[in-house]
This record gives sequence, structure tokens and C-alpha cells, in this order.
Amino acid sequence: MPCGRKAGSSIRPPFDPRVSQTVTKPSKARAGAFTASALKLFMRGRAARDDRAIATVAATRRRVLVQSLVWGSVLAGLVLGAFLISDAFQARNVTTGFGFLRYPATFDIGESMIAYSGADTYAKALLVGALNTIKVAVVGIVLATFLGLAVCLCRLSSNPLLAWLATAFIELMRNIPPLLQLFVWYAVFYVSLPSPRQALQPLPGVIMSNRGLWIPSLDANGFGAAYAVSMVVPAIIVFIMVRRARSASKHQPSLSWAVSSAILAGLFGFVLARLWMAAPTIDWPVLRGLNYRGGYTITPEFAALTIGLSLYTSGYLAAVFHGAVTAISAGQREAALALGLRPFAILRLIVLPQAVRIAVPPATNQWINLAKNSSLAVAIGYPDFVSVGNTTLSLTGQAVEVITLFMLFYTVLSMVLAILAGLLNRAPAYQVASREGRH
Amino acid sequence: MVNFRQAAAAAVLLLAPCFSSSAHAGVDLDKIRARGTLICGISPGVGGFSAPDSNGKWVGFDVDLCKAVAAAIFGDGEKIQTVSLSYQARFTALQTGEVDVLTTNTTWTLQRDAGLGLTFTGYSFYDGLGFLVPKSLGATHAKELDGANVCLGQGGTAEAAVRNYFAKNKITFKPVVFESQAELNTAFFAGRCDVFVSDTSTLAAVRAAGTQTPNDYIILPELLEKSPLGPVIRKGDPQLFDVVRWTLNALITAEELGVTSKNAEELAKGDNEEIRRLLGTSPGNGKVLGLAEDWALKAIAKEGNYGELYERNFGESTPLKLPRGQNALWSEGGLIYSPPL
Repeated sequence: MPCGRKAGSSIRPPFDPRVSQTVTKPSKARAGAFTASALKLFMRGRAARDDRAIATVAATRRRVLVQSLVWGSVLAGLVLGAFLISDAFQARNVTTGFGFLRYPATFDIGESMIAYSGADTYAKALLVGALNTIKVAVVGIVLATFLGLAVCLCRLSSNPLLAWLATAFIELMRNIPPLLQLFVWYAVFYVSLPSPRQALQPLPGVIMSNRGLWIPSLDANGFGAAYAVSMVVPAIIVFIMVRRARSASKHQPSLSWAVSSAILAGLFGFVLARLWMAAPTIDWPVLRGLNYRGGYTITPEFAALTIGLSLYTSGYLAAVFHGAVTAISAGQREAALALGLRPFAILRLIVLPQAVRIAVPPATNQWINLAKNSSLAVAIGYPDFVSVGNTTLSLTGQAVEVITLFMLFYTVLSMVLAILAGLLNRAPAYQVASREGRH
Repeated sequence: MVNFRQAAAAAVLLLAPCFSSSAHAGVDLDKIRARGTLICGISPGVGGFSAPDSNGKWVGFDVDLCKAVAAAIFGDGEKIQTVSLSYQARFTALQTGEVDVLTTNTTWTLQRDAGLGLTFTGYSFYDGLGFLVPKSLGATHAKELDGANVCLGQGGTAEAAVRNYFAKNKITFKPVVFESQAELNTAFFAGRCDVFVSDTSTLAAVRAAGTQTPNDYIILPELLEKSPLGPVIRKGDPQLFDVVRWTLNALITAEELGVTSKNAEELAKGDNEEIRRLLGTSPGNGKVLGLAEDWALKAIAKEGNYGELYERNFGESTPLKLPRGQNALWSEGGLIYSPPL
């Protein structure tokens, strides 16, 4: 507590000239307090105002000093701790330090988004694991959100069976531990599907076996980036131009016009590029030896992890969305119905913008939980960051360094997710809705 | 105001003695004696090495070795506490002092011996990494496993060895790495992978315990890599090193000399000088090790000599039925050898 405060004065932050720029409209309550303190200052006279200013500066200086001491000692404690741990390990002849990241990894990884072999470094192996984790997190978050929204809408429906099913789904998903759900989904995949030699082929080129799902992939023969650019750039340009266009009747072209024009532009770009470069070939999965090669594969580990985590988190997200939607007062819905809006329009224009703003903080929690729960992958054989890190740990023996990397990675991942979710809050549509909602 | 740098320096000086390595030998052995029990790290449920029996007590080769060392130190082989450790956690548990000795089926490698602050004390089991495949695959040689999905346990030597083997023979594979042995067994026997690679003793144990039809699976004749197993302790205690090493050697020498758990007591009173020296009737060995003179007698009388240990845990009466092979005595064509006591 700043010591400059006199007994009996109202609890207010010291006057900070920067604050006034962000205050848009002082509310009535604040105006009252402001007048009271201004009166007090006037009554006490000029001298008191100067004293108060001096006391404020001194209080600020004291606060800064105390905080820097506290933070400085915390930081120093951490650094000291690191040195002591390092010394203790070296005294027992255990190697310390992050030098092992430059050594060759000597182990292969089951699935990877970038080219990787055992001859690459541990650092690259950990990068592969990190990318795998991010892949699961992104896909899982998208799936979980859509599923959670769907279940929430079911729960709000007037059909009692649908509402009951949704509630049962939420309770089931929330109450069963995630690891057990992962085991069940993993077992479903490798028990129910046949081995590669008797694999199912529902469509030509689509192979389903207990080793994974294979689909034919496009192989751009090295021109992948060029094709991507020649398709995406015209599409974006056309999209922006169409959205900005104004016809004579001042009627802005709708979103569907813009999207279809963009797609046409992208195809046109592809045709142009095809004239210059070799055609992309289709990579068909082929049974060679014991397994299929080629094409794009989705392993049962990835599928089980993504589906299991999405279902688990969708239970929580459905509850979050349900709470957010029911927080919008029924009066608004009734007023919108009186205006003649259809239910879906009410949802899209009135309920969801406000509900999203309420739902985003708890939903962010659940998204971060999903990203962290992806570390359960190590139990079902998916090579995520923790799994690769564990292998690194057992090969190098450097437990403290690897665990530190785990902590750093998940901290950064969670913070990035939180920041991205925070951007969602700042979208202008939601701001308008919320400001008007405050009356 | 206290200068922070001075305060930090003072803190380091005050706390440094807690972390400096002790110069006097026997620090770990003293701790064990003071505690009164020997804490051993054992395998996470691998048949033959360590598995809970019908009463829930852990039994196996690891546990028997542990009991022998405890009998040598305390004279009573029951003064042990076993901690079942996963392959991930075993070295960290030993490094930090959670266990005194690791009798798991740990492969001796240079990285582990020199880089972890640990010491291997001897060879208790000679093994090698092998392939377990279902007969339905139709493969009789490891070179026919091109494109295989290989189930691997995390934390062993198998991951690097598999990569080297497949690269050397110019065939490809895809690893599926599991943390827990139980989940790996379920996945392998359900058909998720074509091959399971591990020490052949582990393969035999997994095949015996993990499926109803063990005869549908074969261990291929090729071995990827040598895999000698032995007990591990922390570096820095030469006395404990000698005790663990010479306990193992005593068990091996007992089999050479024909001393078993049944006749140890009476042979100790006999007049074979080698046996008298082994079992402590002729004093001297116990004194230099810092143990009671009958340390070897207690160790052998507890669970038997090396041959009895092997027979009880891996022999004909068990589902594993592992032949002695490389684990026979040197005089019978194997590699088990002990310097004289």
C-alpha cells in the first residue's frame, strides 16, 4: 500500500495523465467521485495538491523498486537453481547442457510432416514431433468446435429426444478420462479393420486397413510451390476486387459471387501454369511387400488421437456454448421474432455474435486443454512432441533438459492459442454487439 | 542495501556442500546399511525377469539378483524393496537416488556406461535383439520384412538398432513406438504391426504371456545387435561396485564348483579349498569387501547359484523355455565366466 495515502481518503488510483486518453465516456458514478475529490482538493488548497502529487511520484517509485526487487530475485533464483542443478549432475558425471541437440538422432519417426530420417539431428526430430503435435491440435480444435456447436444446438432444440441425447453425450464425454477414450478408439481401428493384404477398397485408390487409410495424393513433381502460387494469387486478387466493386446500383456483390469468381480465377491460373510446367501426377497407393506405399496416409494413431480428443473436448465445448447461448436474454430472441426474423437469421445476427464473446474465454481454456492433452499420444504410439522427447530422453539420458523443452513448448503453444483466441474477441462485429448489450 | 551479487555468491557457497561429490568411498553402501533395506529397480513386468506372482509379490531373475546382493550385504535376502520402473524412468530413478541398484534387463552400452553417471557391474545375461513375427506373414528371414510396420518399446536400444539393420539391408520400415509394454502387446497381437523387435528373452516372455496362441508366432533367427544385460549402480561408490560385481561372480563360481542352495551349508564345512574360500570358511574375502565372511554362502543359500536362478526363471518348467545358449558356463560353450574368488 502506498504510504502517501491519508486516512479517510477514497480509494482511487493516483492521477495518471495517460489514462484520460482511453476513457471514452465517464459514467455517472465515476463523475460523482471525481467531483468529491476535486472538492476536497479545493478545500485543502494548493499546498495539498502539490503534496499529493509528490506523494504519488514517491509511491510510484517505491512500487517500481519493490517490483523490480521481487522479479529480480525470482529470476536470480531460477538462474541460480539452474546452475546448482547443473553442478549437481556434473558432480555425478552426468552430461548436462543442450549440446545433444546437434547429435544425430539415430531413430526414425513413424509419421512426419517434413522429410526426416534417423541421420538428422535430435533438434530436427523434436521439430517433427512439434509439428505433429500442432497438426493434431489444429485438426482437433476445429473438429471439437464444430461438434461442440452441433451438440449445443441439439441440446437447445425443442425435440426432447434430441436434447436428451445431447445431454447424455456431454455427460459421457466429460466423465470418462481421456486416456481411456483414446485406448478405446485405437482398439476400434486396429480391431475392426483388416490387415493390408485383405484391405477394403471402397473407392479406387482409397484403401482402408488396420495400418491406416490411404488416399491417392497429387505429386507436383517439384512444381508444388509454383502451382500453389499460380492458383492462390489470382484467386485472392479476384476475391478482393469483387468485394470492393460497386455496380451502378451501388449494390455490393455478395460473398458467394466473390468466392465463385475467386475459384474460377484459381482454375484459370492452374490452366495457365499447366501450359508452362509439367502436369502433376497422381500417386496411387500400391501394395508392395507387406504394406501399401505411396499416396497420402492417415494412420490409426492419428485418427484415434484426433477423434478421441475431439469427442472428449467437444463435450466440454458443448457445455460452454450452451451456457453462452442461454446467457443471451430471451427478450432479444422474442423481439427478433416479432420483427419477423427467421430462427437461423436470429442465431446468426443476434445470438451468436453476443454468445461468441461470452464463450471465447472458457472455450480458449478447452482448446488449450486439447493441445496439452495431445501429449497422451505417447500411450497409443503417435509420435508427438512428448513421444519423440521421451525417446530422446532415454537415448541421451538428459532428463532435465528434455523436460525443460517440454515445458517451453507447451507454454509457447498455449500462449499462441490464447493470443489467437483473444484476436477473436476483437472482431468488430462482436464489439458492436457487446457495447449495445451493456445498456 | 545488500548487493545482490554478494547474496548470490553467499547462497552458492552455503549450498555447495550439499551437491559436491563425496570423496570418501562407500557412501552409497553406507546409506544402504543405514537404511537396512536394499532398494532395487526391476523391469516393468517382463516374464522371467520380473512379474507379479499369484500373491502379488514380484518374482523373477531381477528380483533374485537383488535378493542375492541383499543377502551378501545384510545376511538376509528378504531385506529388499523392489520398485518396478518403466524403461523411460529407470535411469533417472537411479541417477537421483530413488533406487540403489538397477537389476532390470538393461543393455550395456557405452553411452549408458559413460554418459549417465552410472556404472555397469557385470554381465548377468547375454542376449541379442531379435524379431518376433506372426507365422502368417510367411517370412523366414529378416530381409523379407521390407515395408514392415515395426512395434517398438520406447527407451530401449531397439529403435536405433532397427534403423541401422534396415538401412544396411536396404529395406524400409515404419516404426510405431509405444510407451507401455502392455499397450504394445495388445497392438502387436491384434495385428497393428508386422514385427516386434526387442531382446529375445523379452520376445519369448511376451509371446508366452500376451497371446492365447504362442505357436503362431516365431522369433526369426537373425539378431540385430548384441544385448548384454547387467546390474547398474551409480558412479562414485567403488565399494558397492565391488559388492554387486562379486556377488554375481560368486553365483557363477558356485555353479562352476557345483555348489547349490541345497548343499551349500554342508560343502562349507568340507575340505575343498576353493569352496571354502568361496563360502567364507577360509576368511579373507569378506573383510576386503567390507562384508561378513559368509556373504557368498548367504547369497547362494538364498536363491541358488547362477544355474538355479536361470532354471527357475527361464528354464523348462517355465513357459519361456529358453535354452542356455550363450548363457551357459564358459566350460560348456557359453559366455558366463567369472574370475576366481
